Amino acid sequence: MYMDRLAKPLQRAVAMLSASNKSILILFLCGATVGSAFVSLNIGTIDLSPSQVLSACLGKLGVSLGLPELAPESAQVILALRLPRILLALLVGMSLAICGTALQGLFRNPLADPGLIGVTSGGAVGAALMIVLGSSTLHLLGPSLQSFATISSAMLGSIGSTCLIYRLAKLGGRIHVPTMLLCGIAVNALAGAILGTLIYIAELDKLRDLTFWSLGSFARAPRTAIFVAIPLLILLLIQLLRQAKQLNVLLLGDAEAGHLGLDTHPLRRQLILLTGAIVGICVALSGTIAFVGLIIPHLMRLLVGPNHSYLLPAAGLAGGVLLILADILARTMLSTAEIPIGILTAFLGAPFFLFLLLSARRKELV
Amino acid sequence: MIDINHVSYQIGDHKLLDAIQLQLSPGRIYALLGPNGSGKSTLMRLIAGELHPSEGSISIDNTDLRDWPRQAIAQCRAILPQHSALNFDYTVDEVVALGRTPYSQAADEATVGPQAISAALDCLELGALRQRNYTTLSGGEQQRVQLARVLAQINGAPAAQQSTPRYLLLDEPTAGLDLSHQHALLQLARQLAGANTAVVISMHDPNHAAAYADDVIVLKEGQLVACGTTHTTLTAALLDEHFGIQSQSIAGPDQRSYFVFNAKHSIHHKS
Repeated sequence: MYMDRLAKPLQRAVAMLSASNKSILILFLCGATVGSAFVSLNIGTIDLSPSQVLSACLGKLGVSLGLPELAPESAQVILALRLPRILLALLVGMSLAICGTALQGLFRNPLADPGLIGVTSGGAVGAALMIVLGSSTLHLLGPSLQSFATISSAMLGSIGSTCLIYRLAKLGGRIHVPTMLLCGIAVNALAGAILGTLIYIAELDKLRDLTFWSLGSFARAPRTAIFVAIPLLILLLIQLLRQAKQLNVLLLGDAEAGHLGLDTHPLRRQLILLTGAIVGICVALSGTIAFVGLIIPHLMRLLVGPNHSYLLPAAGLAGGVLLILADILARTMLSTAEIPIGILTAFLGAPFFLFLLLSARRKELV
Repeated sequence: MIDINHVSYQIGDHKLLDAIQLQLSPGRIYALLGPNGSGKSTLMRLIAGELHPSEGSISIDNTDLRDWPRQAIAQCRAILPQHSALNFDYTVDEVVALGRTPYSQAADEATVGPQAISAALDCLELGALRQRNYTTLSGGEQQRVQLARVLAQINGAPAAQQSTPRYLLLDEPTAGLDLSHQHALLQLARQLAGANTAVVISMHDPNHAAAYADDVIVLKEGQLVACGTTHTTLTAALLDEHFGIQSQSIAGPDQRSYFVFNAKHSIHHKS
């Protein structure tokens, strides 16, 4: 109730956000992304000053600006250790938030979070299956092909569970929301059981850590995997962003979108393939990071409205900022060890989900 | 002209529509009458291209529905559905603007689009609600917004296309509207028919048909049981035969025939 009271005036104030103001908000989010990434670059076990960090980043680009020269090993810490991890956090945050937004458009319901409806756990099963079943042959392939195989398998897992949930939740042209959420529970439970079995029987180092799959981490992805995944993710995200206008029409309903000249069948198939593939890649790299795809789209929808031309980029940037900041917390909260990042997002997301459920019930959506 | 040629639609062994033969011309209002489950919505969905006939064919302006390019047909045929699934916080303006989707690639859409949207909003007296959140409107207001969206879709097309025939399908549009908006909507349908549009309205109230429709189409159990001008077809005898309702026909001040139902004795039990 309290959050609702807070949200209402906020919503009214931003209802007046004109198109130009929405663009300004997106510019602001761009700034926040760069800013948070820079802050994150400064934080780590080796103490480096902001000017040293800047010098390392600019030095790589061939600009000096008269900043102090940096010892090569310090530059190495920043560029080879911290930067890939931050890029990973940024891209995974972007991907999860954009996929959440797109799935909510596809399901026409703001509760369709990739984690809740089982898209992420499908990806986790896919990745784990490949690691276990391929353990005897994969190491012959070399690290980048190995990463590629794991990522592809995770993509297939996520696409499969998205397809399944969509089929099951759709009744006579409409999405039945309780069915969607209940199917999500079932898929998640089944995926948990399969993962548990795989981990129990496999006893592989790569799999032994169950917390990676259930709570996520940016510390484990091998750098080769990150460099395989980044271009692929960017390509798929661009493709998904190009569906913004069609997603806007799809919110009216499948039949209505058809009446307006959209060929909805290939559109839906494309959305399922793209969101599944993107989420699968994220899971293969960083495990399950829940609720990003729920919180961020909802907050951004309050700010810029449901128009996906603004909503998708805004959600992407905000998701990136959220995970960069959460990653800073995960690395620094405890001096002895890292906290799995999914714990932090779940602390934020689970109460948020309850709040959304209650307000949806008031709107009679569930 | 919409040419419905010997169209049947069945699911499994169950025939929802059986050999329907109809021609619908621009410039006329067609009242689609029939008891619940008689196939009205199925016929609408067939004309809307959502379903495909099991037998027979439907063509619009001499081109089979399956051969029409999606965008082109969306520029001349619009459908107001009975229920809307929209539950995202679009403003009224944004919902109506979605009606312009079929024109997204037209060269002059930047000027024509906003005009068409404003005209549609004015037509349905929604000017004051333009910035309101669609989901917070009453059911009747939402219905009017959807109708404005549909109007923006087929009206205000480039001047060259203004003379092309257009087709508007309204699936029980008066349900949920208050009395004055029911009549405003039907009067609007009248105006649209005057502008080279065929308007097909499924409805339950024979007096609405009597007051506004040029023709009536009566379906019962998937069969076309009556079809013709309102004046000759819509009679007390027809209501008795196909709806089991006894009524007296009286002449209105506009020389049309209206029906008065006797509450106590009107229900006619067949046994």
